Parts: sequence; structure tokens; C-alpha cells
Amino acid sequence: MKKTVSGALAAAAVVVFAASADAQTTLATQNVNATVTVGNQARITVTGGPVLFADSDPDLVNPIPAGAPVSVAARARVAPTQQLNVTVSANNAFFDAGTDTIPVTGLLWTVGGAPSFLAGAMATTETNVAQWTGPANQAGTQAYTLANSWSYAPGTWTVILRYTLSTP
Amino acid sequence: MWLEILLVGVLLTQGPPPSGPQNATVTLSVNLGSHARLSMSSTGLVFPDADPDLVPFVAAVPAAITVTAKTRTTRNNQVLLTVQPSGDLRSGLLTIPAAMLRWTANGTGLVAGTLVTGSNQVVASWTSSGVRTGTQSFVFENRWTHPPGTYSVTLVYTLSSP
Repeated sequence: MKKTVSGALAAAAVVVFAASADAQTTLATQNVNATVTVGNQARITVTGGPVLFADSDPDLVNPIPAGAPVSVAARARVAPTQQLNVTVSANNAFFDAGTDTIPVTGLLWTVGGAPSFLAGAMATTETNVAQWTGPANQAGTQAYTLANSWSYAPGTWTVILRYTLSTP
Repeated sequence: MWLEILLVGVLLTQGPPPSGPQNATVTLSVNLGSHARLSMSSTGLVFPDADPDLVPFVAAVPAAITVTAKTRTTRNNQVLLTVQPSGDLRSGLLTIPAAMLRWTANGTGLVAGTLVTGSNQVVASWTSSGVRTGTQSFVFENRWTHPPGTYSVTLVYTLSSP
């Protein structure tokens, strides 16, 4: 009889111990409300300029590669359905304004980096460099080339490229 | 808490008065129950809008929450303070993972951590009874990829013991 009682006590003790190991007893609770405000933000950063094209023999080097690629970082915090465009435009139709022998349309680019970046050709109108939808941090590169021609007027010529991050 | 005093006396009603030392027994019984209280210096945290390039981690306002946990429990019993978000940060249909909120901690027993949706994260652990205070300083990981909106989430703090 005594042996039986001892066994029952041991079993009860095991059950209690197991229950306490599985479950935590809640002693007190408290709630804290957190509020986060996320506003619209946008920034575009272009590095790598000035883009230089060295003098070259048109029969030997055509097109002329730029000395270094241009890096474009476009960041925008917008609604998930909002489309965003990075565009570029030249401030002049010709490098050699006045003599008009070197058209900016001879300036082409290929791209690297984010898939949203697009290859293209320069114009005085806005041309897409990258396009995507929703908030993002897009980074890519443009490797420029300039068509070379015997008809170009000798000299050092400059155009200004303007990059714009915008919504339609 | 209640105090119980049992007085047990022996009264002799028969026979001659005792001439030797008289004995009486007094039993004092103090019943101390388990108690716990959890309080915060603030029940609201606000993270203002900021430029992700300039402020990659936005500090909460107030910068720190003081946590006070009072517990009366069995000696050597572990007391655990955990926090669990009610879900992800939500602004209408838009959500940001609760894991974008993390904290550093100051005070004995408190540890740094990151919120995890659907999971209790340890804020502090102690043993035995006592009054403990410490601070939590929350930051919000500010990314360009967060859609604009005003997001909310409730942090549920639980003080428990095994």
C-alpha cells in the first residue's frame, strides 16, 4: 500500500514539472503603439563626368569610347504603383554649335547595373535612361560612345547633359 | 498580501492553578502571494519622416522608453519580459516588416533585439523577486524602398515566468 502511494506522488510531481516547463505564466502585459511616418522622397546622383572622348582617327576608332562610364543612382520613395523615369537630354543638337558638324545623336550608350536601365541615343529631348515602378533605389551605369567621322570640325567641343528623375 | 495570526492558547479550567512555568504557543503565518506589475514611461512611439540617405535609422520619439517590472515570485524563479508586434507595420493595404524596428537596451537584464512578426522577442530576463528598471531605445530602418504612408503597429509586452 505504501509503495502504491509513493508511486502516485512521483507521477503527480512529474506531471506538474512537465506542465511548468512547457508554458509560461503571464504575470502582466503592457501595450505600446508605434507610429512610423514615411514620406515621399527622391534623389538622383550622377557621377563620372565630365565624359571625355579622345581625338581619334575615324578609320581606326569608330565609335570613340568615353574615358569612363557614368554612374547614375536614382532613389525614389513613392507609391507602389507610381512609375518613375530617369531621362537625359543634351542642351544642344550639336557639339560644335555654329558649325553643326557633330550631332549629339551620334552619342550612344549601353547600360549596366539595375535592369531598369535602358540603352539609348542622345537627343535634345528627354530620352529614357531608366524606368521602373514603385519605391526603389536604382543604380546603373552608362557607357557612352561617340560616332567618329571625317566630316567633324576640329576643336574641343562640349555639350551639357541634363538628367532628370520624374513621374509621368 | 495578507497577514494571518493564529493564536493558540491552552486554558486550564480544572484543577489547581499551575505553580510552574506556563507555556503558550503563538503561530504567525504570513501569506505572500505572487504579484507582478509592468509599466512603461510612454505607451506611444513616433518615428518621424526622414531622408533615408541622411537618416538611415530614425530614432523614436521619445528616444527611450523606461521599463519598470515589479515581480514577487519564487526564489530563483526566472522572470521574462518579451515583446511581440501585433503584426507588420501597416498603413491601409501597405505593409513594412516589423523587423524594421529594432532596439538597444540599457539596464540590468535587458538585451538589444529586433521585432519579429508572430514571435516573442526577449527584452529582459531576471531571477527572483525585485523591482527592475531599464530603457529601450527604438530605431526604424529607413529605406528608399518603403512606400510612403503612416504606419502603425502595437507592441505587446508580456511579463511572464515559467
